[in-house]
Amino acid sequence: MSKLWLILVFWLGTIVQGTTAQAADVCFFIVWKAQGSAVGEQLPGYINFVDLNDYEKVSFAVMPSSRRFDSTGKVIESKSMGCIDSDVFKIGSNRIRFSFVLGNGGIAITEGYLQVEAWVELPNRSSKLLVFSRYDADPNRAYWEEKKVFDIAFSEVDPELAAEAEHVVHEIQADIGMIKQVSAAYNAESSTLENAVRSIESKSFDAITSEDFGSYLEAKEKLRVLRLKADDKRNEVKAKQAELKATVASIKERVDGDLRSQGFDVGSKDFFQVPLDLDPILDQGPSSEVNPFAIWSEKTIADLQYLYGNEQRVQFLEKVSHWTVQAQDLIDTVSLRASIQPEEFNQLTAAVKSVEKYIYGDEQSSKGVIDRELWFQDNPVPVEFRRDMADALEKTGDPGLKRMANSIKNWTSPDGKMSKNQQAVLALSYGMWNLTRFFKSLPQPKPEDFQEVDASGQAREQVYSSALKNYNGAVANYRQMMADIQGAVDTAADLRVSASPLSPLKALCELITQRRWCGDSGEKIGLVDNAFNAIEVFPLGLSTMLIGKGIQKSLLNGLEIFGEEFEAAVNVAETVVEVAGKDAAKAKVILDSAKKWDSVESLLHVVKGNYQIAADGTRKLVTGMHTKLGFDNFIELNQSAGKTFSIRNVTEFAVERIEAGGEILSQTLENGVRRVQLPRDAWANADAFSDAIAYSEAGQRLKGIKTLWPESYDVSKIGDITRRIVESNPNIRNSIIEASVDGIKINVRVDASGKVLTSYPVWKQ
Amino acid sequence: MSDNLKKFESTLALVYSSSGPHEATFGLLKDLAKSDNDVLRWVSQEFHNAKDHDKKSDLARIAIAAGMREQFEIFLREEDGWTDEDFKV
Repeated sequence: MSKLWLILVFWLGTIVQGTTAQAADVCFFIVWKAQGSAVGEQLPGYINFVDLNDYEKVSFAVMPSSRRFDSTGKVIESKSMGCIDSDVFKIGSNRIRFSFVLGNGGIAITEGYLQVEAWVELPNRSSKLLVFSRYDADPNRAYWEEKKVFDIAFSEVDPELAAEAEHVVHEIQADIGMIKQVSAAYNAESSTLENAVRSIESKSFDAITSEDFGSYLEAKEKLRVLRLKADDKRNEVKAKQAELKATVASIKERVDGDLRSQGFDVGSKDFFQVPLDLDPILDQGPSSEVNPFAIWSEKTIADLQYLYGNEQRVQFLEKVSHWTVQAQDLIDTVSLRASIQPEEFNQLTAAVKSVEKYIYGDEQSSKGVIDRELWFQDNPVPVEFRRDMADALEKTGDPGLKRMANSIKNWTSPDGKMSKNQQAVLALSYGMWNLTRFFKSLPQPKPEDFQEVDASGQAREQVYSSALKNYNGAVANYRQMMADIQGAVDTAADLRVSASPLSPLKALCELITQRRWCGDSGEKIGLVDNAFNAIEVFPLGLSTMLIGKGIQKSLLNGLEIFGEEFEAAVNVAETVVEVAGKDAAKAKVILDSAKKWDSVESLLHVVKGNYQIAADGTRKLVTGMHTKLGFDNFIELNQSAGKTFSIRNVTEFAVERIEAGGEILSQTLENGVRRVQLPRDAWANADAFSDAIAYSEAGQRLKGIKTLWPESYDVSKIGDITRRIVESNPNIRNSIIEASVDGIKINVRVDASGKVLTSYPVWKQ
Repeated sequence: MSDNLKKFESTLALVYSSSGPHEATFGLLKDLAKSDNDVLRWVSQEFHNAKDHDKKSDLARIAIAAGMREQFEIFLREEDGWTDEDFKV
């Protein structure tokens, strides 16, 4: 720290008491002259300096240094010098500011005047007058206050060096400015990316789509690159700061050297104040973002705990299977990124391990819920079954199944019973292992495979067949999968395992082969049973995989494996499930009843009806719909699409057509038959509306009407009644049979072969 | 008179003599008209002879379902207010 010396000089006589500026200080000289009056004895006093940087007021003492006397002995001039320790005085912004109070030793000026001059001697030995004041004689005054602000610029100290320093500092600061601009751009982009990442991280992991996941990875990757760039910029700024510091140090050294060579010890510290505040991204250092993998693993474990705790073991295994595939895909995806960061990968693997620990346990502390072959730890397998199953599995020759067989051999069992849970495990072990392998083997389609071609171009089928060229490998995989499935089903049949646990697998196998037990010589399965199978497959989520995507569809169509019957079965199953309110169990009941019908189409015509789906999602009735189940379904589907119908009970119906609106007229007759009249806009078109006519008791034509079977009549009963009517009228074909059963007047339309097309109660009962 | 035509006539009579609903009846009538040109010719002739508006409409709709849209479209547009939407199959 440099020192500044202030020297006050009072000239009150000719005697100069020799006190000189000390070499280590910058000196100020203050001279006090009296004219006609004596200058009093100068006593020690204080001068205040205010530092510009922090406005801290500091003081230092002034001491008489020399005096001059006139011939009479009066002190006519006094010179004083003040000193201040520069440790408490800073040069800020290259400037100095000070003020002081002068005293005349308590002596009043009684005649003439008092003149005060203050000089500063600059480090280059030049002097500068700071204060020049004259005070008139005043017998009552002994102190005079001088408040002066004096700025001393660095350029005054050393103009040449100051200019050089200014130039260097300006250049460096300009560089820093540019870096800050880049930093600001990073900030903006970083903010956008972080929002995108947060948006996806806020979703349930299970709800994240593949597109989301792609966006997430892309945003994370960009953010990571951006942060690397920010690191570079941070380093650049650090380098510039170091350069600035070195430059300032160099200049200070030169200043100090110059001053010292001139006999002064002026500290040059703090000559420069360079703002080095940086933008947040440059300042924040390593990011402390949320670990999405940890969130994912915690949620997965919570879900699994819930399923296990509520004895939903099949769902537990499905979740395990789903999670296993998902985790592997995630690891594959992350691992394939060239720019993967160890921290991120470690987060992912830690998350996977934590879930695995819950599921499978570890060697040290936890047994887990299931073992690696998906057997529940708390419910082992009977010995004899284990032995038979292991033998059967080995016969398949499949490496995966043999591995399972080895595991089964080593299993010990405390009891001799196989629970349903174990059976479910068995089915899913086979099925999911094989199916997962198959679907994972499907090659990913290229976007161009499914792009619509230009107007002049190919039909969609051609596009599909073009896409199929990419799937030759899938053919072999498919056939292998089918062999595996069939082998597993055969094994289960040999072991007399009931159909129930194997049903999802068996159902898929039968659905594909259209043969009972998948065998080539097996009984051909009808559409109803195949629809059953399609419903059985639903819980595995395979229907979506199989028919929901163009890739699978094109693959399967192209290979001519599934064919129309497969699609018809799946369509029927989906329709039945839709009617049953997405309830697979209810759907099975409907299909079970459907066996009383010889046509699923007629069943669906009667039960559900045929709709068209309008652009706004509302359903428009075309034909059919003769049960309350179907009627309620129609209302509900429209409700969910935003079209609300209210039902008004009436005894008479509208003769004038009801154009539009939300009101359906309804009447339930004594025998349970219900009559309804729907507005025109509930119908697909004028033809459908006009076909659905009846005549009122007064003979008036009513449009847009429907009759519904009594609510207590289930599908099976309707099928039975209809079948009896047709069988009782063997000579009536390609016509409408009029009959009456249990007090209900019924019409049944049959085709030329006697197949039922529709069956409904008539309007006038 | 062919069997189909006999069946058609008797079935059409059902529309005006029984209470309905007649969706299935019209379904059968349309199928018969589609499968037999004699039936279609009879429908066309009967349409021109018919005085009752409802019957003319019914016959026109049956004929259109059997592929004779050009001859009967105007009637349904002008008399029953059909729009392009209604003619969509």
